[in-house]
Amino acid sequence: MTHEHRPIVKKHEALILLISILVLGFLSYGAHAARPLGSVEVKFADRSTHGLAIIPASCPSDPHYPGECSGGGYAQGSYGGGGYAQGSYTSNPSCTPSASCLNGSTLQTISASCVVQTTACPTDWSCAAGACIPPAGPSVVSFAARLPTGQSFTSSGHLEAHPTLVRAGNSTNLYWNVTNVASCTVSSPNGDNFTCSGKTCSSGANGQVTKPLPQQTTYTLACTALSGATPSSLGETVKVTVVPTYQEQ
Amino acid sequence: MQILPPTKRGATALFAACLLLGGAVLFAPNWWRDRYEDVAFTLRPTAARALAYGARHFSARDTEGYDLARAEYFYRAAATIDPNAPYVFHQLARIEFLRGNFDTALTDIDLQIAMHGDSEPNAYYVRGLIEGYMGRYDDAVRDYGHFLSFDASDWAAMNDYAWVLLKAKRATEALVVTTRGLVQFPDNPWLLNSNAIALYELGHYEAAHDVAARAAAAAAEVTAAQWLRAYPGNDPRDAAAGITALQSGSAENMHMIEATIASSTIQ
Repeated sequence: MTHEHRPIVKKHEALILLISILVLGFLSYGAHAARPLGSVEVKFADRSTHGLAIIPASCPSDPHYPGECSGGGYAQGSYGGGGYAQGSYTSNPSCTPSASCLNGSTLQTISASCVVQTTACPTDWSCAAGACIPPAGPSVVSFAARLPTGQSFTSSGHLEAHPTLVRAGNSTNLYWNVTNVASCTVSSPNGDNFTCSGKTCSSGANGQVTKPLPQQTTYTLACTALSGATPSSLGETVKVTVVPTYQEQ
Repeated sequence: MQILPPTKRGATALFAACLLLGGAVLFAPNWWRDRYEDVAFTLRPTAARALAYGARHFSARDTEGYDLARAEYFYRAAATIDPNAPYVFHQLARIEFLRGNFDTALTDIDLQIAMHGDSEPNAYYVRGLIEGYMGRYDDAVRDYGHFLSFDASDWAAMNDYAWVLLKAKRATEALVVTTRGLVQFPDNPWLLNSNAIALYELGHYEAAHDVAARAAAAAAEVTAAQWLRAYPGNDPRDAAAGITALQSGSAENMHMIEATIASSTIQ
């Protein structure tokens, strides 16, 4: 008579139990899997003018518990549910039209039919008080400059020539400084042409040296404003006089 | 080789199934609740049901059920089914705010207010909160002030109103509103802290220190339940970290005021 060794658990039974345990573990883990923790509120503290930590709360942000944050002390209050009013709602929403700025350059409007539209203000425009505001017009700004002799002076920012009286065949230095512009050009009939683009156009502290002047020459500064600005342009002129040279015969 | 009778194989399978089901119910009840929600909502997708399920997953009082993504899913479904559903954009705004998406939160709360205005005044409080976090303190002053016109006894609104008043360099008004709040809530650590800061900003250092010490003592007594009532949209598991931040902030303020008093004494 032989006695066969019988395993306590059959192979297929062990497999079923192993799979069951694995699935249980997965379900348990899955229920707690990767939930984001730590909202912006948890550790937030704003600083007062002198650096103390101001800590806001947000108790009444939840509309389900009316009166939760008032009357009877903050330590009290009911945990009663605040469900929603039952009944039918209309499916055609209506809104009070409004316009506001999401940030310094983005306008948000809400129409009477509750359509929300977010619009970027045009380039160089800004958003304020619920509207896109055009940029300011060209503006002349004084600056520290230097004459050809090395002497420092304060230029008004308007188109200036130093010197304004030159001998024939000599040059002069031109100075200018304009902001809130798209581009500027300083030119003359003798072929001088200085251009720049960008919100600020300037000759620089040392000015721009002209070509030798054979005769009286008028220089013209012409600037184009940023899109939508008023006025739309700026123009100035400066005249450089040439002293005649006398030759004895 | 002996073959097991069929009944024993069946018993093993049944045992495994019971183990599986029982364990799942015990250790992962929310998984089954979520699956029930999915089935129930699929069979009957109403705005009211979506709002209820959204609220279930957006409660600081339900540690296991809290799930911001799932709450958002149901609130967006509610908004799709019925944009007029009460507080739907309010809740979406709160979710985006908690995530730090302030521009999106502002869009949602602006829509909430445009649709429901003063009939759902908590929206003004939420908008003030968003604006405060964005640094738009003057706008926040306006909205907190408007909310307080509906509920002048709300301690958190008074505290937060004081916050943005302080940031807008209106410390005297911050002192008035926190003093009024402390009449009703004398042991509230948030109000005590803000009141101390207002006093300090106005140069009343000794009084500021007294109140700051009370604030630190009160903060040391805050429980998780109290913190979660003060911050109702947060994950319940964040309560400990939030309490620590409150306690360290109020203690730090007390020490800074002490240092100011000490340095002014030496001079």
